[in-house]
Amino acid sequence: MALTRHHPWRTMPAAPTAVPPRRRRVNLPLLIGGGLVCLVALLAILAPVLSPYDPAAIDPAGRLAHPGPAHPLGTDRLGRDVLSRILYGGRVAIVVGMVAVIIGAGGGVTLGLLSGFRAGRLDEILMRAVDGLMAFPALLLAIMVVAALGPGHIQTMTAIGVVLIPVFARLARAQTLAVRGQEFVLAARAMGAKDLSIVLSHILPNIAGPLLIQTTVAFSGAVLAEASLSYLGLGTQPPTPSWGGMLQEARDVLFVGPWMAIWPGVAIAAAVLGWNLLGDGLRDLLDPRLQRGTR
Amino acid sequence: MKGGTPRALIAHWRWRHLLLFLVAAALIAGLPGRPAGAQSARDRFVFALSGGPDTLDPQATAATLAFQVNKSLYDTLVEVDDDGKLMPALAESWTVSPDGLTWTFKLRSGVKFHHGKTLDAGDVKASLDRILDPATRSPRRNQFGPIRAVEVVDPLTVRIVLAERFAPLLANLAQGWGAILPADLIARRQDFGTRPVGTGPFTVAEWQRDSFIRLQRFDGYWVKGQPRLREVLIRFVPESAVRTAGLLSGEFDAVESILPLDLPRVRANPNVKIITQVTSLINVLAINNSRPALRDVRVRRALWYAIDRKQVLKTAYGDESIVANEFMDITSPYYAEMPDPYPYNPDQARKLLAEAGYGSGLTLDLALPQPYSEHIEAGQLVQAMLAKVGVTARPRVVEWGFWLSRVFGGGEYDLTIIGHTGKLDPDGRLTGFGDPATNYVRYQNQKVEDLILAGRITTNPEHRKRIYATALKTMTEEAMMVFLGTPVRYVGTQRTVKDFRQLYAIDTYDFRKTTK
Amino acid sequence: MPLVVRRLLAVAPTVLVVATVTFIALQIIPGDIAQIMLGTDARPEDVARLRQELGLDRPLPVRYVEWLGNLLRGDLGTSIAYREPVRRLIAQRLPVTISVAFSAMFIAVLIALPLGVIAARRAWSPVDLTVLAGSQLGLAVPTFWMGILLLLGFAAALPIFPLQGYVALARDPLQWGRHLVLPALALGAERAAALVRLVRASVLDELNRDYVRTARSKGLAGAFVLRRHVLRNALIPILTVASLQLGYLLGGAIVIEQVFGLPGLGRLLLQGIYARDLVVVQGAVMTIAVTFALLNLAVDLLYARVDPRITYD
Repeated sequence: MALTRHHPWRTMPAAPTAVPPRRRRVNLPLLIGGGLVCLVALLAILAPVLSPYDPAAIDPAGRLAHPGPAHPLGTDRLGRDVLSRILYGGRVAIVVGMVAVIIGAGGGVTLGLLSGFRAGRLDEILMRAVDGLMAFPALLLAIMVVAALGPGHIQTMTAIGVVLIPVFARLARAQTLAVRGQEFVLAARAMGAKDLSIVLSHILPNIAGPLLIQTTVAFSGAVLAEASLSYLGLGTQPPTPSWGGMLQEARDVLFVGPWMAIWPGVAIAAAVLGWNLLGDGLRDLLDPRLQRGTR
Repeated sequence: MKGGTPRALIAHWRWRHLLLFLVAAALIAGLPGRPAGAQSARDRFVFALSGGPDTLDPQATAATLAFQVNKSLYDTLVEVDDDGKLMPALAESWTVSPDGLTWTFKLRSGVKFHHGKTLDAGDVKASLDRILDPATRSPRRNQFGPIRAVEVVDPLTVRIVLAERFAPLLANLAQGWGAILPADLIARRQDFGTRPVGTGPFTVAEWQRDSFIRLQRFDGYWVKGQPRLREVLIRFVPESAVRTAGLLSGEFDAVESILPLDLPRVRANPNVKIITQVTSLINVLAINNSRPALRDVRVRRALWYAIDRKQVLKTAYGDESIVANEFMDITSPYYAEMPDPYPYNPDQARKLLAEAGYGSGLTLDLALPQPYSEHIEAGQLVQAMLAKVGVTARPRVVEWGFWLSRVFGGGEYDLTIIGHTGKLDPDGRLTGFGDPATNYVRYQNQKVEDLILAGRITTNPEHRKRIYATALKTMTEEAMMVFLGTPVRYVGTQRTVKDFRQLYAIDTYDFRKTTK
Repeated sequence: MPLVVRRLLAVAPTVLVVATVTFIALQIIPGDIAQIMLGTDARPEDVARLRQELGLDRPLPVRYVEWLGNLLRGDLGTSIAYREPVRRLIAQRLPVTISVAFSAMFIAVLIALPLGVIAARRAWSPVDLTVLAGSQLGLAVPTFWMGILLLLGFAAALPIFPLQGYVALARDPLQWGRHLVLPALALGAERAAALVRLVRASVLDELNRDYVRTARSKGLAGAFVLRRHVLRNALIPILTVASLQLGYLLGGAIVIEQVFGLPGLGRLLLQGIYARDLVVVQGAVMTIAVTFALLNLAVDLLYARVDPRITYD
């Protein structure tokens, strides 16, 4: 679950990388990633239109039907159409991902900006708190929050959001620290500009790039986390369709209805892959700008 | 680049990692366990159960899974035979005084506990005193409530004096919580939960929670020639698909609870056989009778009419499940044959709802317990059926702790689906109903409450049957709950397994006669 | 070694924060532990009495201080559901989780190291691109899905590995290994996907350094250069990020234990949550978090040993 880290490349100690330039004219990851993400989003938004059946429509007679003309991906234990449930499951994945990332990025970036800009005692205290949260493996922290709040998709969003906060906080802080010593910031300060306006109009735009990339990674991590939590029974609760929950339901019927165990996983992988590739592509895109003034 | 694949250095690094890993793993992962002795496969039995016991102290738990293991470690004064009738076990015989208040038990002689002590009346007294002691916190204490005193008459005779007549006494003594523990260890405050000592056919050789429990034959068991097996290894496997796969691959000698949808696969395999057993479970759609809309009997009856109970039963609990029209399992001698008072009829349901003033619709909360996927399935079927008559049921899956304390305990629900396990004595199932303070569906009916109390103190079985029949009929007519039915349980064993004994009446397993 | 002591002391405040966060987070749980313990037929008076006896009615600060004090003594409390000391429950399960984590890491390294090296040496070739693509796929595949697919494949096609359960190493090494193959594969493959990119980047970085070019220009054979210098230097950043991987490893182990029915800390944690057994949940969370911290520490120390240029303040 690539929930809390930058892409491995990013965390390497600084070294002038004299890697041979890519002989590509086209930014492949951006294209493929962007395409996948758009596809997933589109399918989720159009779910009501595209679903051949109501995802909650129970059909006891047609239980565990093999994939065929009537049900392209088969049916589950209650006779519900798997394809429809996967389409609607996409909605859950996207909503949970979005809200979680908003909470994580919103909270984390605010904290990081504050911490990096003000520095001093505030910075120390905030970073201790962030360190405290980071002392937990990410999934463990999410499980703990869900354990405290109870299962359900709203609680899941909160839990994943909480887990994302430290990452964004650290990133925003590091970027802020790097930028605030720059000339244009010092100049603005000298001219007497208020802190808030400096942060908003000068610092934020300059750190937006890495933050955006982190957002894509966070999104893919959130989708994976929601799926894991639902699989464990701690996330989205039945009968709301969710990809992880469908894999949990598939356990009992694993050998009788293997299609139930395959397609939800494919959906999860596609969504996660899309966001990961998008992040890669964005990084390549923004790379030349990023080389300056970081670390 | 020339030079070829750097095999040597890869091997070099791999070797380093391997060494590091092996050393670390050996240091950390080594467990003090008994070396696996050479055992012939024929007298070692592997049984896959859906979960493990929480404790091995029979007086400290109410969990079915605990008693499924404890049956092999302890014995009770009386036992249940395959038809649910009570027969002598540790007690050879018993008599009851004419006023029904004094029960005298004659104990079997020469019965030994696992630690060598011989069973005597003092052990029975100590065990019963222990379960009655509030400090033990036994969840089954109230099943022995009316006991006023336990007296030792002589080493093999013990007398139980009741404060009032109590028909279920014998049945309760046959249950797992009636196990007899040794008085000397009770006095020494032995932790039976992890160090069980009883008179049962097996002792515990090794127990790893969430993994397995290994039972070893007790050679001094009071039934000569039993148990026939030398070792029973009970593995805890929560997933039925994995249990079934293990049965088919030969990893398990027997598995419990095969899902109906796995049956075709299992039946197709010539090496395994299926034992079909009607359970004493009753699955119900419980209705919170105290809620405003549900206080009206017309609404409750409408719910009954609206649900195709046979369909729900067969889909969620298996094709061979038996519909129940009353709150008593079909395997009980107190079962009263009763027709379906409200056969499936959505139109009638709508009519009744309109009469009661809910013609424009009614919204109800449906709480479903998370660990039971079959109840969750049933819930979704029920939701669909209720929707057709204008009742919007909102299902919410709640995890077990929440269900127990807030739904079952706190009454925070409109509808819920759960199964009620059978009890040997009908009072076990019915006690508390009629008085809204003591039953979780808040069903109130003074007459029913009186009948149930009367049933408890009547010892004549025929009288009891009539009393309970009236109570059951009333409960059904007033649609206290919507009874779904009794599921059938499927146990799978290897073809060579003989005498695998499942006691449905108390939902446990008896391995004394089993062989492979 | 003073460094070890210093680093251990540095872990202490982290542990304190972990303990506090754990304690706070789990006090908000709805659901009544006492009711669950006694079962559905218990009388309300008994439940109330149990709550009192277990001290669930005392004020929060009192319980917090008690919790910390007990932790210092290594007392993790007594499980409410199991009525056994939590320490004993954890001691039984820690080896399982460690076995899973280590074997998964072993497989991850086994896969990632050679693949990463090959990919780096043939940078931008079809082989390399395949490795990169495979890594992307591996990262996208959820661990538990991989586990389920392995179950499906192995049970249906090749029933040579058991589908669940665990045997202790000391009892039967062969069975121990057999029971761990599928879980380690499921968890390790995903970790390998993450690791291989790192190995590749790290090796690639080193390969392009001046000293490598110098060595090559002097005519030293490629393999020799690789072994002597490159890998050794590449190890440093690998170790850095390996410690970041530990978090995912432990998190993934929790889920994998559920998939394969392994009686480890993750299972214990989840069962504690389902049963609302506060004590067990706290104990399990603490143990996993502290293990995480200690493993990080171990990597840090290894890092310091491997790279003599690194000094800690």
